[in-house]
Amino acid sequence: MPDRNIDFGHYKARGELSSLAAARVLDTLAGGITSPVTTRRGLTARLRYMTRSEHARSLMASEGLNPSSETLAKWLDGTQQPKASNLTLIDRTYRRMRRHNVARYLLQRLNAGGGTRVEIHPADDTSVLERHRRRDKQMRKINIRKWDHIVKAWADGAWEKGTKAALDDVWVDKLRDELGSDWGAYEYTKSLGFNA
Amino acid sequence: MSNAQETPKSTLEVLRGAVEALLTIASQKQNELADGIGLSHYAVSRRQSRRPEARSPWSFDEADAIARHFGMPTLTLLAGAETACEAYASSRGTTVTRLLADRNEPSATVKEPDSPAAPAAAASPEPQSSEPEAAAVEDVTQLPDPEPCVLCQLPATTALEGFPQHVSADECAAAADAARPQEAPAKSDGDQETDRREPASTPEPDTSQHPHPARERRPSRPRQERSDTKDTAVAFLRRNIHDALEQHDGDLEAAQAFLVRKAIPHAMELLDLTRRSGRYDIVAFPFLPDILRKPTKDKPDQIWEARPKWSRAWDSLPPGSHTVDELDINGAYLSALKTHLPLGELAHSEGPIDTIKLRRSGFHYVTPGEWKHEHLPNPLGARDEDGPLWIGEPTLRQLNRAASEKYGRLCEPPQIHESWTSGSTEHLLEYARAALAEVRAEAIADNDTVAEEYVKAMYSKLVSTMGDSNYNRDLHRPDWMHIIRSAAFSNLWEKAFKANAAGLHVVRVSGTDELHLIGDWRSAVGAQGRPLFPEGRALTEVKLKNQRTITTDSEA
Repeated sequence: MPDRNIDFGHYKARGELSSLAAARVLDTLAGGITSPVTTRRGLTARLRYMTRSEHARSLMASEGLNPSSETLAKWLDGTQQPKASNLTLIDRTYRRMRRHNVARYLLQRLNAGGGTRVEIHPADDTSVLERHRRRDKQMRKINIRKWDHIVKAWADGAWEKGTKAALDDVWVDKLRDELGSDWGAYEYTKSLGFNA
Repeated sequence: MSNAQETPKSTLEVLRGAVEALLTIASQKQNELADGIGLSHYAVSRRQSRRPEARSPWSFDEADAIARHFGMPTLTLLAGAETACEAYASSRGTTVTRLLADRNEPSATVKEPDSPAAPAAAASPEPQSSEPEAAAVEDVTQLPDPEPCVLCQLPATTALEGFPQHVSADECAAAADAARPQEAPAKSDGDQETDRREPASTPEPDTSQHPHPARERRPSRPRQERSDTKDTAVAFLRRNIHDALEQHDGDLEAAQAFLVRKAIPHAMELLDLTRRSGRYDIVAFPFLPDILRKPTKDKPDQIWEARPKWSRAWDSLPPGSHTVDELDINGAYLSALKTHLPLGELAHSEGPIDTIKLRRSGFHYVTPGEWKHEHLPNPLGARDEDGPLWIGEPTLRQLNRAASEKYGRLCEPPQIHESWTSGSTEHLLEYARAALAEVRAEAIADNDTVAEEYVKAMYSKLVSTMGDSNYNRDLHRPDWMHIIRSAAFSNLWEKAFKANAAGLHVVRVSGTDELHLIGDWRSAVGAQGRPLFPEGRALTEVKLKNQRTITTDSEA
């Protein structure tokens, strides 16, 4: 069984780690507030979302965003604008909370009706020399039935903080199940989509 | 230029020239040569191709085989067209000029239709003289032994697409003449034969009008089984309508609302159904170049779809009072589903590209030519800015057509700077389109509003949600969306052009399906003498929406 790429891009192939691409697609499926955090509307909406309830507030604190109630009030009524570093923290915390909250519903939707079809395109090797190219690789459509582990690893958010291994492991496990020994061509991908 | 002519020809060029010349003077076709040297017709055609990119080289062994086929040493063949032709002629005991004269003189060759020694002469003399018939003898092969012709039952030495038969009606007649003296002893039989043949030979004068006289009477042969994909798709749509009506106990409004709500998933299911036995799979989530990515949710990407929004300047109309008829094109987007759609992911290329020849489709960064006409809208649509822009395949082809001789060189052809294209096909959505069109026609005939609205919702929502949409996550092809819309606009422009060519005044072209005309459009005819704008509700017809009167003064 082939193992992971040791030095992807050594021969000038291009692509995105497919587990991260999948996480990105899950993010778009999770949806959320589209106004950017730098706008007044986007900022207020995010802060409201995160301070709706006692539970939400404690979750926000556990994610590392813990402003005093005065600061929060000033942010909300617009008398004080958060620092740039706080803005990124607010945005990141909001996305994590959103993932956490949406995970259960999203999992249901992905698992419904016998799973979700994933279309995965192999890494782009047009600039790789012919002799180093992998032959016979093409777009594949695979059906993933059980999304529990993937969604859990995605909602956990560790992949965003720099520890990609957990998400990558569950994703590669799925790829290996579906694609067999061919999975290595799809560890990095050019494009990936779910029809969920 | 003079330098280029002086450079000596390559050996392959010499060989190609010699082969072409030999085929001409021997009156042979490429497939006869192919049979003679044991290659496929396709291979010979590739080796003799005039297009450098489609060409493959002759090998030494093949050159030897060609020389043997024409009965000369290989070096004579390679010495050039003239030497080779002379050698060929002298081996036949004639001269090149004689052979050429024979070739152009039909009567000279008809005399020996049955002689297998001169296969070249047996090939019909007529096709060379008239262009349309040349197509009919494309697949002629020589038979080693005469076999009964499928048309007149007399021995023939030629076969057309594998069926032994005479190549033309004249040859059948010639064979009959040749056979008659032999039949004379068996008198009664012979008379019956000729009687029976009479009716067959009487329509002969007609055959000159038909380009393929032999094909119409040919016995039917096993065809490839017809695909039932469209029927399956039609059945799927009918079943959905029927089920919805049953579910809502015949409540038409509720059933219609339900069907319209289900239009997107049903359209996706329809696509899957129609691609079941297709050669190409639908790639739903390809890699997209930046030109197709929306920077934010509500900002557009960089593609210009060439949506028309044009009104004619009133002072360019003849003065007086005019009745403007506002026509509406039926199902414009449904018809536009048949267009060249890129199959896979788009690949980048720089500089001019001939997408028609390469069978590619996509998007092009072009500098369009200037448009100076007052009586016709710009195929590029209502554009406020100048300069280069990204356009889709239908717009590019429309601009190229407008710049062609046939359209009277309305503008300069657009200059292509770079392109994102992919191999394309026109048939990707064709079965889905045909099924929707059939159900639509039925619904209109039966006055069935539910089915009509259902079909309308399906195709319009399919087009509007196949790009970036939260309502359709099964397909993410903004490229198709743009191309289909451009195709609809291009179809509308084409109609406006034809109206103008038929002497009508085009007053307004806008949206996808609005065409305002002055003049008697009901009796306007196109190039083939068919009415340009038949009135009705079918996809090929137009609907009169409104009429208004305008008055223009010469002063205005």
